[in-house]
Amino acid sequence: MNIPDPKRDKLKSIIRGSRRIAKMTQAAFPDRKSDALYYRMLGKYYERLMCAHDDGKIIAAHTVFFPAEVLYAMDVVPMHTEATTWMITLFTGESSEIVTAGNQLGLAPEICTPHRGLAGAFSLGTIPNPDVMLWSNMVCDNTAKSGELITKMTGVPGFFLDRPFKQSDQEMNYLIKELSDMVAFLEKHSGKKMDWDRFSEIVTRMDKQIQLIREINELRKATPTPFSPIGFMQLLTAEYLFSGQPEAIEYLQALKDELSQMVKEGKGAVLQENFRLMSFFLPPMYLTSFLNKISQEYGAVSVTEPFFTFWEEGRLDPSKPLESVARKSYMIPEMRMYGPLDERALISIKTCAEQYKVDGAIYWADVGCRHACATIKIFKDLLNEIDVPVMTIDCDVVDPTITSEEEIETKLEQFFELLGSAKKATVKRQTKIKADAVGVEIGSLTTKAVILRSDDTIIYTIAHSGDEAEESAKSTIDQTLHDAGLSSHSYLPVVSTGTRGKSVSFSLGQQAINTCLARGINHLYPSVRTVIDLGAETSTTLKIDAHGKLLAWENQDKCASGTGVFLQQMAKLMAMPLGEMSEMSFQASSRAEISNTCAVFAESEVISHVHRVPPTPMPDIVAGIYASMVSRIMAMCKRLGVEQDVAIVGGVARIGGLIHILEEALNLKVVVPDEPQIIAALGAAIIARENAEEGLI
Amino acid sequence: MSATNNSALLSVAPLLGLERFQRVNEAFPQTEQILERKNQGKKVFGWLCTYVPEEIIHAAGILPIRIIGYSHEANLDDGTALLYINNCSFSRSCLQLGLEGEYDFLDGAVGGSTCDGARRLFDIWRHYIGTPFHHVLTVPRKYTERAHQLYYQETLQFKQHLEEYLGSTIDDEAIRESVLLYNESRKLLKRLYELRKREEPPITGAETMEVLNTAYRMPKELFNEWLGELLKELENSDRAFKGRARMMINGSVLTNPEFIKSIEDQGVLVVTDELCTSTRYWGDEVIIDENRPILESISRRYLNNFPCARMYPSDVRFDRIIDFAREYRVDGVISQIVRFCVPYSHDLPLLTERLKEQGIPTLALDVEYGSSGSGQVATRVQAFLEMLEASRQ
Repeated sequence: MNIPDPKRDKLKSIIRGSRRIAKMTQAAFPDRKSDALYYRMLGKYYERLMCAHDDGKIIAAHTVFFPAEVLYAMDVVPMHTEATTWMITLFTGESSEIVTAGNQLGLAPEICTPHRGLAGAFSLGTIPNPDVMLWSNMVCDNTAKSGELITKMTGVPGFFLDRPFKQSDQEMNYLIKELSDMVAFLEKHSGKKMDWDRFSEIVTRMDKQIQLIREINELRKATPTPFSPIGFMQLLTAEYLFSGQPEAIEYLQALKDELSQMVKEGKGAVLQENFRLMSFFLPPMYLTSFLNKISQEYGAVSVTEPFFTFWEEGRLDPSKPLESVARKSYMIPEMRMYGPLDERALISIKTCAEQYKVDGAIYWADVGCRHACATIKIFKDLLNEIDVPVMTIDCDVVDPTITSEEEIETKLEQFFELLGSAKKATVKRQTKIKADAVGVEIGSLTTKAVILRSDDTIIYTIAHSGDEAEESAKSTIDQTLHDAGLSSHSYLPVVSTGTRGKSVSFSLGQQAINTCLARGINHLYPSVRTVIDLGAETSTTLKIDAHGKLLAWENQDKCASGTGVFLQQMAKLMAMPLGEMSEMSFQASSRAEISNTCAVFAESEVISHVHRVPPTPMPDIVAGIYASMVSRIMAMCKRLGVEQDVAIVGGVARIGGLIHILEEALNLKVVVPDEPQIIAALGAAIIARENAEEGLI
Repeated sequence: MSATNNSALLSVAPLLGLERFQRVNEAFPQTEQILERKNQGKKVFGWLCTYVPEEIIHAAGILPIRIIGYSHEANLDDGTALLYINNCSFSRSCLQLGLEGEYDFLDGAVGGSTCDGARRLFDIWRHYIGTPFHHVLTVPRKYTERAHQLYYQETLQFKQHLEEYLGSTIDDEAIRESVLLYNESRKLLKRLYELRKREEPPITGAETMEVLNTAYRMPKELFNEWLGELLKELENSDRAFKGRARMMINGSVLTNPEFIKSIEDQGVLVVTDELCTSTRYWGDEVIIDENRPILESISRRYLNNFPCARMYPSDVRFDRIIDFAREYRVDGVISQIVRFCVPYSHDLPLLTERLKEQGIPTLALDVEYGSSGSGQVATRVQAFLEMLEASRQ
């Protein structure tokens, strides 16, 4: 067994951190007891864990949704595996050390970070080894498999709780018997008998806990909603760590009282409630405070989570505690999502959308969770039917290298802009007087400036983005003014956009890139309804209306294959300029098989085609590369739905060979603007012009 | 260099009886035999995973075929749009074929709660494709008596659901006959594998894959007939292959013979495998126990069969792999794991360790389902082979 290294002891960090926050919140908000209670409760969980052996108790590590009620009843100290990895991330600010240690044990990237991180934390000795390991297949293959691995790694005894998939009577009976076996297993290893009276009390409290969450949900229906923007994460933690514990009841009761007072006073969780959101799956733990901040800024609040806090009907029966925890395992809201996926899941989404008056939904697409991602399309289709826009954000709940704060902020801004415009009844589009205006897009590789003259002529410049966004924007605009025959001192309205558009101080407005793309393309081609933007690092498909209003979009950005950077890598590999590759692809007689999932795979496949005896003809390899990219682009398009006409913009639009294959896949002719890279800057210029006319800037 | 290595493999006479198997594989899913059944007004069901008791479907007068993806690395844009990129390429490939209408002839789809990919594929299938009959069996993950009882109940419910759908009963005698037919098939495949135990087997790994693929793509009656004839040809031929090393291939679902060929092209001979399209499919026969209902004999066989990595404890699978490695005298194991196939990636560190204790080295390959092998695979197999030869000296 590993002995925790005091210098790296993660538990102490969690305990210290939660105590500190508890004190801080108590001092800052003396009338809001719930936050302090929550953090004190968290601290207590890990204190218990740290002192377990001194107190003569054994530690049982267990996977998510495992019935911790049984452990509490037997005086066994629970250690929730996934939540512990989250807490380490949350309180120590980083998880790369433990995730890397997990990788070094030979755990593949397929295995989600909470599981890889936990195995890593055990191997480093940064958290104590459990005395027994308990795991179940309640959620996924990760939970079903990682317990056995940890058992073998740590050499501790383990128990696998086989929980049947559906919930027929025979399956329920099977689970109840599995649970009895587990009780016997724990009795053997803890040396303590099950205290059935205590178990019943715990089940009574768990039932009360569920009731309280239902009551809290009722309060959250109020406008403005009283509960904090991503407070549902606290509700979850309370449920995962303190199933049927007095601490959880105390916290939930205090929270309910506070919320009910707020509702009475008409107070909301944010100063001005603009957007009521539905949340799917988990946002990154390391962004908790950032997300709270941004929610306050935009007045956006998660009011409902169909698969986290929205409990099905049903009560627990304390006189039958084992049956009750078995039943609970099927009642948990999450289970409607994990399947078998049926009407119940779809109905709960619709019910929540209506009852909580939802404006939009955010889907946290955790790349490590296959279950969470497989339902994106179904749920999105359903919500779109009832006019609720859905924003999907690729992320990882623990690993900060997957998504940065900046990326998430850009996406959320874009989404709130969309929700905002959907809320406005009409948007003025017709203008009488026209003026000169400037739009500038500062992208990761290039900066584009457009001057839209009063007579609608367009003058533009494309330049490499320098280190300083401000400088790049300024020099590119100056160049354009010069080309337009205007003085560099001309006072023209400027709107900036793009990944680095925010850092331009002289811009009088900043607009999200998708809005600009929609307006820009609509200006040039009013018949376009679908825009596919193929940029250097991201690909996006947009759906727009006849007025250039952005209706919805879909991103593909967590993978290089399908982006311009991927094409550049391939060009390097083939030692051929991009243009030459494109020309060559037209001579292909067939298309080489190239992986469409992963850029790394694709690279090795291209190399092997080149070195094959006889080598695959170069045109076929290039066509194969394009086809694999088109496959990824098509998956994105199909998630959104394609409506004619279709325009392709962005730097990749210049690659004729690829556009040809894309047209074939779409089975239609696409529109490619003469200058596909300036569309966002043009849109920004149009917005600048309108704002100037409306006297907004 | 590789040409000389392979000369032993290339000089052998062609296997004439194999051609018709290959033709079936090329036409799949819409094979002549399946379409003929449909034209006769008979029903065809697709099953997804080796835990689905095929005999019950057969006994109902329905042709059971296996739902499988493209046998090559295909464009999976529809599948990816729905299942997302982080579900395995096998489930996405199956879905892709379904969405393209290639499985429109199916009257029913039957799956099990076996792994995440299978579960999600069936959820999405039901929602976006919708086959008239849809059933998912709960498959326990343990081998306990209780688990067997639950699986028996599940099998019984599946049969009842099927009877409701058909409006007629499936009698025990028909089930018994189906069991005998399927057992016959298992016996024949075993005979084929016995030939591979020879010092110089008359069939390559890639050729064997062609035979295996047809096992669930055509009526068993006809398959048995063809396989019987192929065995005669093999048993009477002087074909003999000798590689520089004998290899077992294992891991995630694999159907592309080209992938095995790309490995054998490096000079090794694949003599056995541990795959759900192969040994884990036909490994065990149904033992008819006269003291139990026939359905229970079936359910017991399916739960006890050569296990998938989903089962607990994983040592049951590891033990059988090690037995196989001994029986077929393999020098090494090539473990091919489809990206996002969690059960097999979880088992890999443990299995590698168990094999190492037996003195059997493992080469782990990350692949996409349907891949024909790449230059990188070839390079890694070559390096593995050189390492084996170096350690032999």
